[in-house]
Amino acid sequence: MSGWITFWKWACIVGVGSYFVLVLCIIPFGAWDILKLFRDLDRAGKAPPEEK
Amino acid sequence: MGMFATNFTGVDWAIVGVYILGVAAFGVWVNRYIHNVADYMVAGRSAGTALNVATFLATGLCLVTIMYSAIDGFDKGFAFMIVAVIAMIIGLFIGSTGFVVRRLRAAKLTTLPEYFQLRYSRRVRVAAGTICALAGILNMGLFPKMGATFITYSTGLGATGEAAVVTQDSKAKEAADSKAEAAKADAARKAAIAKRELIVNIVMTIIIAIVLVYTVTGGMVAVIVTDYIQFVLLALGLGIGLYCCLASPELGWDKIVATWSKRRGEAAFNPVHEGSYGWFWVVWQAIHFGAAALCWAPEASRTLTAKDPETARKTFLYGSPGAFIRLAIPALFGIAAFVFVAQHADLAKHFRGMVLRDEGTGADQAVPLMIGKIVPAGLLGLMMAGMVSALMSTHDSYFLCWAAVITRDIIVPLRGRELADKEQIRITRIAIVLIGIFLLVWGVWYELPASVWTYMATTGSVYLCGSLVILVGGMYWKRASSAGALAALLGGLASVPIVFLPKWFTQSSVLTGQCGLANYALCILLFIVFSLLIPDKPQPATQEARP
Repeated sequence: MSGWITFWKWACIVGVGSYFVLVLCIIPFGAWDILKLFRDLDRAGKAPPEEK
Repeated sequence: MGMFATNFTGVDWAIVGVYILGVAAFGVWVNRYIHNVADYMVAGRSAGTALNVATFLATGLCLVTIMYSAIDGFDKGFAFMIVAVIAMIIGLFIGSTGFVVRRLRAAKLTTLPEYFQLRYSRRVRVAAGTICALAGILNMGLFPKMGATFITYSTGLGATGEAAVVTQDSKAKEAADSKAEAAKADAARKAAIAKRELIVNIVMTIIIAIVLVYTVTGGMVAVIVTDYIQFVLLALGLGIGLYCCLASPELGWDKIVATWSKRRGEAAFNPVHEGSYGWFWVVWQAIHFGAAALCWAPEASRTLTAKDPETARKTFLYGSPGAFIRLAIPALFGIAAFVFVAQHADLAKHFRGMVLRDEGTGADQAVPLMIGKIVPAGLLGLMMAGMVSALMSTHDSYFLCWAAVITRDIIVPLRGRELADKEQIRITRIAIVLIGIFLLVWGVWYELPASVWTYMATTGSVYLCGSLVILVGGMYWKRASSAGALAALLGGLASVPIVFLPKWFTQSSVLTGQCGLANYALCILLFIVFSLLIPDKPQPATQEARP
C-alpha cells in the first residue's frame, strides 16, 4: 500500500506542477493568439470572395 | 455556523455576477468577426497552439467533470485518480505521434462525421451524425442538474432546507410515539428541498440563457475567446481550492492519507484491488478516454479549429497535464471531503442517514459544502467564478458542436444540396436554442443516477464504440467498407439498455467494465465481418482521392 501512496503523491506533485507551468505559458501566448485570430478573421472578412 | 451554511457572502455573489455578465458581453461583441460558416463553426480554422490548448482544456473541464470526479473520489478514494493518469498518457501518446489527429486536420473538415462521408458514404455520415447528436445531447442532459447541485451547496443556498433537516433529526425519537409528527417533519423536509431546487433551477436557467445568447451570436469565435478567459479563471479556482484543502488544519495531505488508509485500506489507493474498480473497468476507461479524445465532438472539434496539423498534434501534447488535472484535482476535493465529513459529527450523521434511506452517499452535496466551508469569503467568489466558468465553457462548446453536427451531418446531407452559409448559420442557431430548451426541461425533471460517471461513460459509448472503430479502421485499413462502418455504428447502440438496468448492475464497476469492453469488441467484429462480406464498389478514378 505504501508504494501506491508514494505513487499518488508524486503523480500529484508532477501533474499539478506541470499544469501550473503550462498555465503560466498559456496566459500570455493565448492572449497573443486571440489578437492574431481577430486580425486574421478581420482580414479574411475584408478580402474579396475568391481570396477567402 | 449551521450545517449547510458556507462562507459565501454578498461580495462573492458580486464577483460571480460581474464575471458572468462580462463574459457574455464579450462573447456577443466578437460577433463582428463572423463572416462565413467556417468562421462560425471552426473559428476560421485560425486558432494558434496556446489558444487551442486553453480552449481544449476549458471544454474538457466542466462543472460536471468536477462533480463526477469528486463523487468517485469521495466514494473510492485515490483509486479514481487512475483515470487522470490514463487521460494524461493518452494525451501524451496522441500529442507525440499525431495519431489520427494530423490526418483529420489535414482533411479540412468542419465536423468529424464529414470524414465518414469522404471515406465511406453519405449514409454513414448521416448515421454517425444522428447517433453522435443523440448520445451527446443525452450525455449533456445531466450537466445542469450537477451544476445546480454544486452551486446550491457551495454558496450556502442549501441552508434553505437546513431547519427542516435538523427538525427531522430531532423529531426522530418522538416519531416512534407519534406518526403524525414524523409525517409533518418529513413533509417540511420535502418542502424545503423543493424550495431549494426551485432556487437552483432559476439560477441554472439564467446561466444557460446567457451561454445561449453569446454562443448563438458569436459561434466558435465567441466560444474560443470566452474559453480562454474561463481557462484562466478555472486555473485560479482549482489552485485556490487545492491550496485550501491541503493547508486547512482539519485536512492536509498526511491526515487525508491516514484517514483513508484506516477506513478503506489498500482499496482506497489501488484501482485494480478487488474492493476497488478492478482490471476490466480500468482497461475499459483506457480505451474509452482514447475514443473520447479522438471522436467526442466537442474535444475532436479542437483538432479541426487548429490552424494546421502540427498545431492539432501540439494541442494534445501540451494539453496532457491539463487532462490529468481536470480529473485529479476534483477527485482530491472528493477525497478531502470524505475526511472533512468524518471529522464533523452533524455532517457524518446527515450523510449516514442518506445512505440508510438509499439516497446515495451524498458525495454530490459533501464536496461543494466542504469547499464553501474551507475557502474564505472573497476567494470563494473567485473560485465560484471559476466553477461557473467550467459550467459555461463546456455548455457553449457542447451547444455549438451538437448543433453543428445536426446542421452539417444530418440536415444538409438529407437535403442533398449544399446550403448557403447564412442558411447553415441560421439552422445551427435554431438547433442551439432547441438543445438549450431540451436541456432545461431534462435538467429540471431528470433524477440524478447513483453513479454519474457510469451514466456518462455508458451514454458516451453509444457513439464512441462505433465511431472509434470506423475512424481508425477507415484511416489505417484499406478494406474497410460502408457496410462495415454502418454495422459498427449500429453496434454501439448495444450500450443503450445498460442505462436502464437496475442499480446492482450499473453500480458494479466490474460488470460495467466488462459490458463496455464487450461493446468495443462487438463493434470491431461487426466492422471486420461486414467490411469483408460487403466491400464497397470500386469508385471511378476521379472519386478515389481520400483524406
